[in-house]
Order: sequence, then structure tokens, then C-alpha cells
Amino acid sequence: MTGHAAVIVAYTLGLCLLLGYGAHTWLSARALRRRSRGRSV
Amino acid sequence: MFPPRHGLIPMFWTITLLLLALAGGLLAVYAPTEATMGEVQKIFYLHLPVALNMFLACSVVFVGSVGYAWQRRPAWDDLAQAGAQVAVLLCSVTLITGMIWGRSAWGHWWTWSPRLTFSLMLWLLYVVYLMIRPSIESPQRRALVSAVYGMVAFVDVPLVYLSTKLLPDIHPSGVDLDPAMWVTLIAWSIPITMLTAGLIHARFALNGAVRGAATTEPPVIPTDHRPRMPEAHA
Repeated sequence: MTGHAAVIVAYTLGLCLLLGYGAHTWLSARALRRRSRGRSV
Repeated sequence: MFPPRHGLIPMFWTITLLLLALAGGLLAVYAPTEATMGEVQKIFYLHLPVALNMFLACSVVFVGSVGYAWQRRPAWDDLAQAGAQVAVLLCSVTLITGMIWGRSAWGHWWTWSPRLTFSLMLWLLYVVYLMIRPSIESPQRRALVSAVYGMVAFVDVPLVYLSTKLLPDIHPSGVDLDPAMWVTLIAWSIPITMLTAGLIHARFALNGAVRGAATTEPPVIPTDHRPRMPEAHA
């Protein structure tokens, strides 16, 4: 792996994991909020 | 269940993403190529801030664990759990980026040097922390066992930090950067720290909401035992 490719792979993997986990947390919170709102209606 | 929604949190995430984009731009056009290692040294701008924030997340687990052991309030347990979730994520990113760097700089993906071994141990410790939690049914017992475990697991954090200073190690123990490299490093450290804080906050709120939902949810009736309507006969 060349240095340039290594940098691209490292940043893509790292940022995908960090931002993907953030998106997963946000979607889980939204689903739970909707479910609890539906139950209270 | 959830804290009231207001404009501060979306604004916080917008600023974080903008700073991240700015840091990416600096990496592409401003950061100089290091003389010895070449292009691969640029992994360092992600690797170091993520590793430092991993220590921060582990400290949150420790604080939450001490808080729960002291006050027995479930919110402390939610905080410790949030810290562990984010610590595993950051530790994974640290290990992955470190391995890619090692492959290019040292010629192999992994070596059993003290820093790398203690880092892998740290990842395993917090993965096990998250794995043992669902296996304990009583919420109070789960929180107490997790609190004791969270305090013990924190012992590995100073070992990771001090390993390169106290033991012979292939991993660099310090950084020697020129001003442009420092600027890029700081530009990456700010959004990564904000991302860590935002993730811990979001996970803390979610853990509290899940706990609240679990206590108010009606008991699940198995399908076969549901009362049936009498069937109409012709």
C-alpha cells in the first residue's frame, strides 16, 4: 500500500466509524422518541 | 424521558461537521509531507486526537462508575455506559489507523510492543464491559457490577500512556512537529474532541431513555397465550 492510499483508507475508515456511530445513535434516539410518543397518544 | 430539544444541539453538530471539513481541507492542501515517513505520516492527525479522546472516554467511565458506587443513582450508570460505548469506538479507530500506519512505516500490521498490547487490552476490557451488562438481569446489580468493573478497567489507561516512556517500544513516545504540522494537529483535535463530547452526550441521553422505556413498558404477552375472540359458528 502506498503512503497516499494508506492515508485515504485510514481517514475513510476512521471517519466512517465515528460519523456512522453518531448517525446510528441519532436514529436510535429518534425511533425511541417516536415509539414513546405513539404510546402516550 | 429525553431532554427538551432546542437549537443548541443541532448547532453544536453543525459546527463540529464544519470544523471537521475544514480540518480535512487543511490535511489535503496545507499539511506538509514529513521527510522520513512521507505521506503516511498524515494518519497521525487522526490517530493522536482519537487516542487522546479515547482516554477522555475511559475517564468518563471511571467518573460514572465512582459516582454510581457513591450515590447509587442510575444516571451515573448511564454516563459510565455511554463512556464505554464511545471508548470502544475510539479505541477501534485508534487500533485500525495505527495498524495502517504500522504497515506502511514498520512493514507489518501488528507487533506485540507494550503500547500496542496495552491498547488492545484496553479495547478488550471495554468490549467485555459492554458484553457483561446484558447478562445481568437486575438493573441495580448490573450497575454495581459495571461500576466496580469500570473502576478496575481504568487501571489500563495509565499503562497505555506510560508504556512508551517506561518500557522499550517501537511506538514513538513523543512528537517533533513543525508549526504547520501543529496547526493541522490542533485543527483535527478540536472537532474530534467535540465529536467525542457530542457522542457521549447523545449516548447518555439514549441510555437514560432506554432505561426509562424499559421500566414503563407493558409486559410482553406471548402470541400463543393472547386471549382470543370467540369464533362465530355458522
